[in-house]
Amino acid sequence: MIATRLASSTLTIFILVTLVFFMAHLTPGGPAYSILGMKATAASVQQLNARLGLDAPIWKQYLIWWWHLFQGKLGYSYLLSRPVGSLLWQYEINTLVFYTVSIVLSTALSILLGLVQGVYFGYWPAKLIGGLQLAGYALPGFFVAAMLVLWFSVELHWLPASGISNLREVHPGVGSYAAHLVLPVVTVTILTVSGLSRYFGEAVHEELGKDYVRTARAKGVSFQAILFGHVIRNALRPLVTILGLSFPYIFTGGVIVESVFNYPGLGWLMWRSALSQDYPILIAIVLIIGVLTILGNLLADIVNGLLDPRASYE
Amino acid sequence: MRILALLLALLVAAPAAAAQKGDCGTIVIPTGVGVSSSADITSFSPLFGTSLYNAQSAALLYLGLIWLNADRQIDWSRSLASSITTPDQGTTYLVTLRPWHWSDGVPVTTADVTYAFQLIQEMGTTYPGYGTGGMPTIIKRLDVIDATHFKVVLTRQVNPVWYIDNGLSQLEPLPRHSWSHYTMDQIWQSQSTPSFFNVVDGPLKIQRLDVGLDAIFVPNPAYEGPKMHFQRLVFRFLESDGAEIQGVESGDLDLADLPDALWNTAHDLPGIYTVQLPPSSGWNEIQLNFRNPQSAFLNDVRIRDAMQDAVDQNQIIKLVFHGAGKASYADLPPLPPDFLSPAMRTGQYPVGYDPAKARALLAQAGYTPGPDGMMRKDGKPLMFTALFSTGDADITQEVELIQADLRKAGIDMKVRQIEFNQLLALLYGPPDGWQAAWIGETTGAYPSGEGSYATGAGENSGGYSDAEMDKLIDASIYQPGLNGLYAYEDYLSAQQPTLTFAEADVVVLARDRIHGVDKFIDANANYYPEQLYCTEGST
Amino acid sequence: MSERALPGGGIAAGMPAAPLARIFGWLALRGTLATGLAISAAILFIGFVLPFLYPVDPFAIHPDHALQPPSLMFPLGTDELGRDELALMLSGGLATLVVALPSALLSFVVGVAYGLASGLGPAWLDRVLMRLLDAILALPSLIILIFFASLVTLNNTSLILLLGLIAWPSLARLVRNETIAQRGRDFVLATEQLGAGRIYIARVHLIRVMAPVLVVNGTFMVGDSVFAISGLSFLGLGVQPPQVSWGSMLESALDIVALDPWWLIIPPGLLIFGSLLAASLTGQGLLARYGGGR
Repeated sequence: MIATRLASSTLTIFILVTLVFFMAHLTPGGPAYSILGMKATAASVQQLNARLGLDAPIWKQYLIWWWHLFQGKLGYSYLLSRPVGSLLWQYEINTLVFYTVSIVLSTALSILLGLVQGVYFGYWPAKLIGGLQLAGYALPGFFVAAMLVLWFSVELHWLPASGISNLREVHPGVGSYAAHLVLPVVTVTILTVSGLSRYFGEAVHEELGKDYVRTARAKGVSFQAILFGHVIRNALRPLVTILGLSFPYIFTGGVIVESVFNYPGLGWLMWRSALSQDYPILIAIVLIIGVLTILGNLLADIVNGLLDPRASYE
Repeated sequence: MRILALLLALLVAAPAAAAQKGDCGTIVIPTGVGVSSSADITSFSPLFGTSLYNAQSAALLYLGLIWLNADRQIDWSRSLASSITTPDQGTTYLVTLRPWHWSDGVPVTTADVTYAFQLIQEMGTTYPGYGTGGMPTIIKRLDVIDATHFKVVLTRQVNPVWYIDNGLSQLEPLPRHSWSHYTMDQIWQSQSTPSFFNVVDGPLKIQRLDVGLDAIFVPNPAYEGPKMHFQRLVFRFLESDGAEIQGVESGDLDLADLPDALWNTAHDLPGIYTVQLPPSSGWNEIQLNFRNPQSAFLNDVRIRDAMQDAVDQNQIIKLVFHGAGKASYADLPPLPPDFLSPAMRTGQYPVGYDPAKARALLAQAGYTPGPDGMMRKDGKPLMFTALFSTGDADITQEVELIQADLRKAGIDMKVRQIEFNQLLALLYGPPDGWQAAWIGETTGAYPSGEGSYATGAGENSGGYSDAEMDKLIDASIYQPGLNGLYAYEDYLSAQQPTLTFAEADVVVLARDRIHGVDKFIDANANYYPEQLYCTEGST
Repeated sequence: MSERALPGGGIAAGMPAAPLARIFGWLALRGTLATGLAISAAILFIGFVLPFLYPVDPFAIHPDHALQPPSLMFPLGTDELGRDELALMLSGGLATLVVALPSALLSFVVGVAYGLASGLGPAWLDRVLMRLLDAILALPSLIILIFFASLVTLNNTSLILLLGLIAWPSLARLVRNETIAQRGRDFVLATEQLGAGRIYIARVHLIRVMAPVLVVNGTFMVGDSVFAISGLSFLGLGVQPPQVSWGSMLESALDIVALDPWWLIIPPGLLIFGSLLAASLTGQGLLARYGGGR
């Protein structure tokens, strides 16, 4: 029942937030040193900690943590002199755009390829696709991105190698944004389709082997009707599960792909924060991703439930 | 005759017209161009700047009381002070402000100076410039005479050259009418918020900051100085030299640094020309942390001198910088001869490449070579870890060659690369966060050491403390004349509180359309944005 | 399933083992295993043997020969610091594998132990462990990796521990599910009747039954491990300079991509690709050969 799942998810979120709280306290030094810097004598650190509430017993800090979260305060980045919340939203939008386009493209391509693979199972088209999937699956994302940049940016000068828009234009147009999206989206698509199309292809193949298909064929229903009427809908279920699991990636993007193309999304921000050990930002991002993953799973379960009312929960 | 005269006039006028400084539209350059590798701008406040990049940004927005050019002379055309006199040779200073206005029309007055001083005092020891130039404790009284005249009385008589260059210069007028209703906390928290800095008196205003990506400046329409030849000046934050070269080659950037390592492959890219800049007034050093128990053994001056003696700087300059650079044996910038001690003027230093002397010094300090050739004392190896920042191929090469030279002398310097802003944070962080760190350095115009080598000084990240040094520093800033400075310099070179190394001369890549680059950047890492212009008809 | 199905890192948790058999059964079975093993052997040779055979010091810089394409003196060219690319590649291979293989082993052991404990233990323990697993799995592994990599000093030991402690959750869930499934079978109940302890059952019988699944997943984990350390190094959070790894070499090459350094990009990229491919092919081949369980 949905209510059970909701309750279970809430519990998981609670555990996650607690875990992240303890992770946050593993970070060294603490903010006082970042603020006071060189003048940090033991006395002034103590003073500042008192002011910032950092010297309260750990259980009290834990409660303050929850209180801040409810208020939407996600912390303050001392390295960037910015409240974390204001930062995240900016970068989030970029990742949303980037990843949504990628996911839509990947899903469409995967369905197409998976269909061919499932229907022509055993014949050369399926084997060819299978080989491509294997190769694409083993390719590391940064290598793909590097080769794309080498070829399309440096050699051919067709597409920009980094950034999100042309800084020279005071108000960059849609074209500028689009051009900067091409290579990152292609990279992510190549990587995603390799795995995604395999699931769909397998699901299609499995469906085609089922009794109801044989029965329908025996009754004279056309192959197209079976395919588009039933098989695809049933084969979509594992795909939806996967998409649900990939929901959080809409919010973090591919960290590696974003870093290669210097695309200012949330994954890129996380990478830069890790390099500069900007813990407030890291904590906030980890928290958000965790919560979204759990919600994503919940969403996938609900959608699956809608697609197949017979599905039951463990 | 008339027609000939007209033709002649035209002929003369034509080249002049062609040399008209065209508008560049948007100029895009990396932060730190012409000075050092790029890193993020994280603050626009003139009060909090500890990094080069932040200081450069703040200087574009706010004019200082005095502006020192590359020859260490005051450039009055860029200073807010129109005259500074000290009638009693160093205890009292009378300053006259020139007529100047903030970008919202309000005049710059002495009230803005007292406001700045008030903020400095409020910050206490957390003020980054605390101790440099004696500020703020050396000021006994700051008296306002009228809107454009004020008087500074010090607690004691000091060397006026030193105080004006290093101390008085910190009293940069801040927009009191814009900021006075904010608390110190709020000012601190807003230091990267562009809208907070909407009242400026410098050549540019900050329009937008894309955190971690770029900062966009526009000309200050109310600026009473020279006009700019662009609509927007964008500073991009790039992680490495490679990214800069990538940018200038693809046209995304107008300027880029060219490290010597990549000279062969990158100096003749199409659409780009090279600009040789004057030798910078900075130098590279390895700062040593005496407060960290793991590196505290470096307190022994013999070890430090030995390390400096072990490195063949001229070889490094030849290999890495292709001969374009100058060896450094003391924490001093390249100085005009009268600022150098008599010994240094003739090229004599207490340290220099001498591997035999290095070994002898280490032996004196109780170190003997172990079976693997590395020095040991009481079973403990002579080992420490040096941090240096990512993104600069020249520095990487230089550091590795230094590491190799030190190994030959039996000293094991391990290296670790981290991002620049993080390195800075570690330097100002807890005592055990670092052992040694590679950083570029420069001094104020008067190269005294009260900010870096005096006990407890603001920039003294390693906790160096030596009574003789304190005495000599005091002499150099309190006694008139330069003899105190000379004595300090000689002692500095003998003490090696930090290990100093050469900085390469800088070559900048510029796209064909942009000009004035050699005047845009001076040896003190100052930017002169009005010097940039483009060929007519290009944007 | 391995993380690379979804870019950016993540674990497709809970995918049953059965469809794996179907998917990989589509490819030429015997050829797959042989190819996979051959490539694996080649990679291991390049990583562990060749570095000691090639006499050049990877860290010796030759500033006057910087950034040169392959030539007689430097078979794979030089990087921007003037170091021999071939020597770097071998050194980087050793550095990569020296972290990747032990961490895969660590993950494997932890995952199996956790799964067995959860599956064989009392019901309350199972619930607690699985709930904890859910929470841990909520965080994509690359994110956790990046977070912890920023916390600790990065050396071989800490990297092995870091990677090892990240990749085990999905294996744990797999093992636990299999354990629960096998637990109810007759031979297990019979053995319990005879008085055998849980650990004995686990060690002797369950592992034997699960062996094919374990070996296959273990093989995939090796590939994932190589990917993880390369990815981390690429981001600057893995193997630290001056030591190089394939990932960090790619990153340095990408840095100066404007200068068209194809000889710096292709070798490390191909080797990482080769490693992942080897792991995939071997795993699939094994799966097809020895069956994938239910």
